[in-house]
Amino acid sequence: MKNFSLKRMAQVMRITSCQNYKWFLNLSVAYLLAHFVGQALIFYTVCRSPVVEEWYIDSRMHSATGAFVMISVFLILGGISFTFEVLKEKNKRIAILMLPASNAEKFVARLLLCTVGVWLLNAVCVLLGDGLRQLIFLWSENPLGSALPSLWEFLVDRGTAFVQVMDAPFTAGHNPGWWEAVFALASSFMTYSFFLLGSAVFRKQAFILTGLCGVAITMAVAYVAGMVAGLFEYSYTPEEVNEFLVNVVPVMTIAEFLLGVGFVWLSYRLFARMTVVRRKLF
Amino acid sequence: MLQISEIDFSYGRRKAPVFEHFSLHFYPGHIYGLLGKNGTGKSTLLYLMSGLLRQQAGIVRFEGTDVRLRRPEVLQEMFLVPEEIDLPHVSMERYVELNACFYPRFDYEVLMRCMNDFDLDPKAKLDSLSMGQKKKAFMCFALATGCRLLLMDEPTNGLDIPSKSIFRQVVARHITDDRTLVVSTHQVNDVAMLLDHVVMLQGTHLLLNRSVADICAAVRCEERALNEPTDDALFVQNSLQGHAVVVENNDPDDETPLNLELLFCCAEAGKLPLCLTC
Repeated sequence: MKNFSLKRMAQVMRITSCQNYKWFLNLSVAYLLAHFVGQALIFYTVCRSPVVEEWYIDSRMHSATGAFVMISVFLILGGISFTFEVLKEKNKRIAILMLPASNAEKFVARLLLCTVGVWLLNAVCVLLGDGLRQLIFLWSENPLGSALPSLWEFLVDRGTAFVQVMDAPFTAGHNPGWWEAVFALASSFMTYSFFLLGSAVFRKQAFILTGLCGVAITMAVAYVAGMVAGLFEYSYTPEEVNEFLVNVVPVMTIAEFLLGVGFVWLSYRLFARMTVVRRKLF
Repeated sequence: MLQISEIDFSYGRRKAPVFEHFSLHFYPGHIYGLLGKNGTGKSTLLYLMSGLLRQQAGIVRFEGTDVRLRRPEVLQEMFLVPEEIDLPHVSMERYVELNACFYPRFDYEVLMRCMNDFDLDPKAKLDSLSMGQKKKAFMCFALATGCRLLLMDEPTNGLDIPSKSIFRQVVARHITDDRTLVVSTHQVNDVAMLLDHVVMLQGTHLLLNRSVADICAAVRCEERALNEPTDDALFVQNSLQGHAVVVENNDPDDETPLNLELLFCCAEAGKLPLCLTC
């Protein structure tokens, strides 16, 4: 029997989503509320004023776009932190681990639900949150239209800029913009997989605990880097610092990508070796 | 069918070992009773057998495959009914629709017959059932899966009196020659009639591992009045009628029904005849 079958994985996804639909409903309501509250706070002052200048509305629309993006980042990281949350209860652990599918199928099924599923859920909640805000503010003194066109414009701009950077020719084998774009992608991937690992390690309050660990690790790395830099008593010019950063970005990009892959692999290992009774490390 | 070979297991380096150099084989077509005092590792053994725990040494194999790998072909032949069951907010019909595809020999008719025997409504939401009803529903599903190894942890806990009798009937009807049932329980009287093999655990090792036929051929469990002598008894326990005793059976053609509770106390006291000890 194959250790990975797409059909069986789809069945695991079906069983997981159908048997946990209440949980997904609760998550949808929480995501919708988060987007709605974000928008309501931004547009509240505008709606209270009978006359508002055009530039102010524009600035609020930009803020609304920023809020959509920021809240989405938090919700998507929160979503990946829920990957193994269901396994915090012993009975559910037994049910999942005894299901006749391979560890890889169960892992990928949960991962897909908490990535693609959560992204889609977030996109729907962005639409509904904006709609709900418009609906509730309809009776205000200055009802405003949707902030979605502004968000769409932002996403298209960023997408176009990314494609342009990736398409730009390398001059003398060098293109800082290209590396910066890839570096941003690698950073996002590493952060995302770090939260996946956090979910496998902590299970309860995974988002908060992983976030705290992330902050602690970042501070420790920054402290050590500062100490190392302080060892060389030489004052660098801004150009030298820039040159150093340009050279170090490719190395850091590769390191972050490898770390991201490592975090995913470690999460899988923890899942595959999970037992029904946990040793209380945390 | 399932071989446990020389396993060592403890819940932590500083914790006392639960099993040390522990070996046990399970063969098809038998109903095993797994008995032992609280904390002797009955549930732990079931978890080790199903790959839900990882032993520190040794190996547990189901038809040659290490159960720790949790391979689909092993899991579709093995079903664990835990002591406490958490079922989703779906009806049994929906539950079957979602889960039956994982078990190639799933038999819907068996399920419906068992549900009918237990007087369960297939349309009721599983999470709204009482603990006993949940257990009955889950055991019906377990029997219908067609799995060749069924592991049940305290299956009669929470069951009402008629249900215990129905449980015995349902299990006896569906455990065929190619299937094995391992029942871990303290409620020995609920399952005594079902068992054809008794495994008793003590400390980190086996206290008794014999078929019911071997046990009945070796010892007799009798009730004696207060004025009757008990000098020949291996083990004596006070009872309402006088004394419950375990004596060596010198006449293999004249066997008594097995009193598991008495036998357990006898084994715990170290009074079993040599031919039965491990």
